[in-house]
Formats: sequence, C-alpha cells, structure tokens
Amino acid sequence: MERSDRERDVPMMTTSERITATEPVIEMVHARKAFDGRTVLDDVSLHVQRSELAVIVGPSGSGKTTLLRALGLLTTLDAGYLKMNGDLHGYRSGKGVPVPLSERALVRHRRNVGMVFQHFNLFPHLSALANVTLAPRKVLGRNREAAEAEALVLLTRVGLRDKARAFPHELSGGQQQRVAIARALALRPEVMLFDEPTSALDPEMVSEVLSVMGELAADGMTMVLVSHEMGFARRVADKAIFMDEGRIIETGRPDDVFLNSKEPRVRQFMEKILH
Amino acid sequence: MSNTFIQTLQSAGMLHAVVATILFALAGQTLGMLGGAVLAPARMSRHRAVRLIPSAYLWLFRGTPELLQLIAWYAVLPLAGVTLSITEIAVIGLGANEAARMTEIIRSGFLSIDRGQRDAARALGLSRWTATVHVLLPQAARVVAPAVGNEINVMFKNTSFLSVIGITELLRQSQLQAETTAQPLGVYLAAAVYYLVITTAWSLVQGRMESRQSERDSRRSFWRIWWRGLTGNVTSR
Repeated sequence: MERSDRERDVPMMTTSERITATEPVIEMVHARKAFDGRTVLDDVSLHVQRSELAVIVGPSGSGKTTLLRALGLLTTLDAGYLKMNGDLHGYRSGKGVPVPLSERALVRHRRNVGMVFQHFNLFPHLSALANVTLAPRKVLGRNREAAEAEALVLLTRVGLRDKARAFPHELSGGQQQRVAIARALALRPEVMLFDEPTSALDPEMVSEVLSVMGELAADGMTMVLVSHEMGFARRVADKAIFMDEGRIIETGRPDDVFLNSKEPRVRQFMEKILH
Repeated sequence: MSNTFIQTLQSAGMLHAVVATILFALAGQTLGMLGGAVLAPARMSRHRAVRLIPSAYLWLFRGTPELLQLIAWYAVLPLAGVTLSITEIAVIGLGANEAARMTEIIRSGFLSIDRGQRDAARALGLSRWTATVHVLLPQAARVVAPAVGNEINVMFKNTSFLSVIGITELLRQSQLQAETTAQPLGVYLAAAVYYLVITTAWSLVQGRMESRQSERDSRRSFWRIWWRGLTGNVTSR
C-alpha cells in the first residue's frame, strides 16, 4: 500500500534521481556454493533495488538460508561475487575474477548489512538496550550516552522502549525478535536480511514482528526476506524469488509467482502451502 | 591423643601451614587459569600448527602424575641453570599441571555456546577479538564456573604434593609435628580437620555463587556473581 504510493512517486523525479532510485543496492552475480560436494547455490544471480522488499520462498534445503548468509557475508561463495551500490561487496578483484576478502576486511563490509535470524540470537548476558548498543559502541566507537540515546529511539520504533532494561530471557519470543531487529538497525545498514524471522514464534506473536517489518518497508528500507508468510509477502513484497535445489526457478511480482506461476515446480509448492 | 589433637590445632606451625596451603592453592589456580586462557584459544585455532602446541602440552601434563611433575620441576630447573626459589617452583608446578586441565574446561565452555551467537556477532561487524571478549567470553565463563569451582577444591588438596619438595604446607607440617610429638594420630587428625574446614568453606562459597547464578543467571555478570559470592554481599530482591 505505502509501497505503491512510492512507486507512483518515481516518474515525478528528475532523470538523475530516477537512476539512483532504481540502481540495485545489492547484487549477487553467478553465485556458487557447495558444502562437502553438495551444491547449495547453483549459479544464482539476483539484485534488489533501493527500498525494494524481495521475498525468497522455496522448499527447505533449497538454498534460501545459504543465499541470505552469503548476502550477509557470513558465508563466502565458491564462485561469483556481491556488489553493493555498484562496488564489490565482501569481494575484491583478483586475477580476472572477484575473490572473497579476508575475514579482517569482511568485518567492515558486514556493517552495511543488517541480519535478523530465525532464533533471534540475542546476547543472553546483555539487556535489550545493551544488545542494541554493543555494535555502535564497539564497532563505530560511539560513546555510551550517544549509543543509548539512539538505541532508545530504535527500541521505541519496535515498540519496546519500556523493555530496554529487560534481559532476553525476560522477553517473549516476539519481543526478542523485535529487539533483534532494533539491534540490526543500530548500524544503519543499507540492506536488512531476515531469515525466517517468524517461524520460531508462537502464532500470536507473528503479527507484532510482521508489523514492525511492514513499517520498516514503508519507511523505505531495502529488505530481503526468507519466509513462508505468504499473506505478508503478498501485501508488502515488491518481488518474489522462488528457489529450488540451489537455483532460482522464478522471479516476479508476488501474486504472479504465488498464484499464477507457469512453472510446474512453483505451482506444486504453492498449492501445498496455500491450501 | 585428644590432647595432641587440640594442641596441634592450636599450634602456630599448623596455622601457618593452613595459610600456606590456601595461598599456594590460589596462586597455582590463578597461574593455571591464565595458562588455560592462553592454551584454550590456541587449541581452537584454525591453524594446525598452532593447535599442535596445546596438544603436545596436554599430552605431556595430563599423561604424567602431578607428583612426578613437581619432583621434575624441582630437579630439572636447577640443572637447566634456572635458579628459582622453592616457592616459585611450587607455584609453577601446580599451575603448569592445572593449565592443562583448565585448557579443556575453557574449551568446553566455548564449544557450548550456540553457533547463532557467533553469527549474530559477526553480522554486527564485530571483529573476532571484540566478539570473543564481549559476546563469547562472558557466556563461556558462566558455563565453566562450576567446573572451575571443583578445580579449586581439588587444588586445595593437591597442595599436599608440595610436601615432597620441602614446602611447609599442611601435610609437611603435620609430618614434622608427628615426628616431634610421636603422636601421629592426633596430628594427622588435626590436619584432616583443617583440610575439611578449607574445602567445606570453599564449597559453601561455591554453592552460594551457583545458586545465585541459577536463580537469575543471565542478568548479572559472571564477575559480579563471583564477587558477591566471595564477599557474601547478597542483596535482597
């Protein structure tokens, strides 16, 4: 809804603005990855535009999580590379082909990508506030006061300002995941990656997390989401990507992929999860 | 007999020996923990060559008796031209053996941490060092606290090995007093009582720390729990 408003705004911009607006924020080019001889990513290429929300769907074991971890630079590709805003991201030009950066150099690049995990992965020994301020303080060198002030803004944004002093074990799953979103936002990433953010939650907590994500999308955050929340994806996503056996089978508008796919494999999967 | 028992308990020599036993145990444990803190990360290194050093160390120090190690330090160091006081040799001997055990304990603490914690730290752009210090170490410390408590208990008793290299700790002092009084039963009974006092006091401290930890573990830092346990500074909730 808010998304389509923004799309309508695009033609009103000047030409140069439109070019920036449609430049891919993050790109994956001919990615390949195998674990112990098993191919998990098989020549995967994709790009996500600024303020776009791309949802990745597909059966388990199809490579969705590996794809997301590669985008977040937690996994290095065997072949292929990533670009962010047109520059190599997590890779450097080697002899002819881009090669992964060293771990030390990767650390800097990871800041530009926020990641939200299926099991939240909050730091259990730190309060919600300290979870959010850790990276700004230790990575960006912010002082405590500034970091906490910013963190409180983020916690307010996810509706948890009053839980700032609570520890993860004192929070519900939905609250923990919202803290995790605030934590990932604290470094002001260019892209947010969500790996099945609601699949470990009790059903009644799913909507509070989805609504935070919906607001983020409406604010123009570029997002890549692995999820089986079809309703949410249809409402909010701009692009759906269907993966199977390490390959992208289909890319298109969510309704086209979910409801009117011409690919038998996609139709077969959608029939199973929609009915 | 009961007369000797009471007299031994009250003798200045025994009280000195109790203090020596406690100090040697704490010094040896501290050195062992420092050694383990260095060897454990090396044992988890990605590089084979680096892993080899702690492996060889563990093989040697876990494969030979501690008593023999102490005698070896005592006999070998002077031959190698290293002149250390007997006190220093004692602490090194206890610490070197303890380092091997602490290495395995610390390693198990790190291995127990969920992989997601490392993922989250990396995704936030934390360097390996920052992630280790601020994310992994506090969690590992909490996991290993009970095991470290047991090590300290064992260490109090292992100081008795020092009697063979001439350190006047509890056991050696008892041997001396048993000879002079010719009343071994009363003297050794007194020594046993002192060992029990030390280990019981320690287990009370340890129990207190562990119960505090299990009550509301994740909210307090590891060191604060230890501090409260040691000082008995228990706040009401």
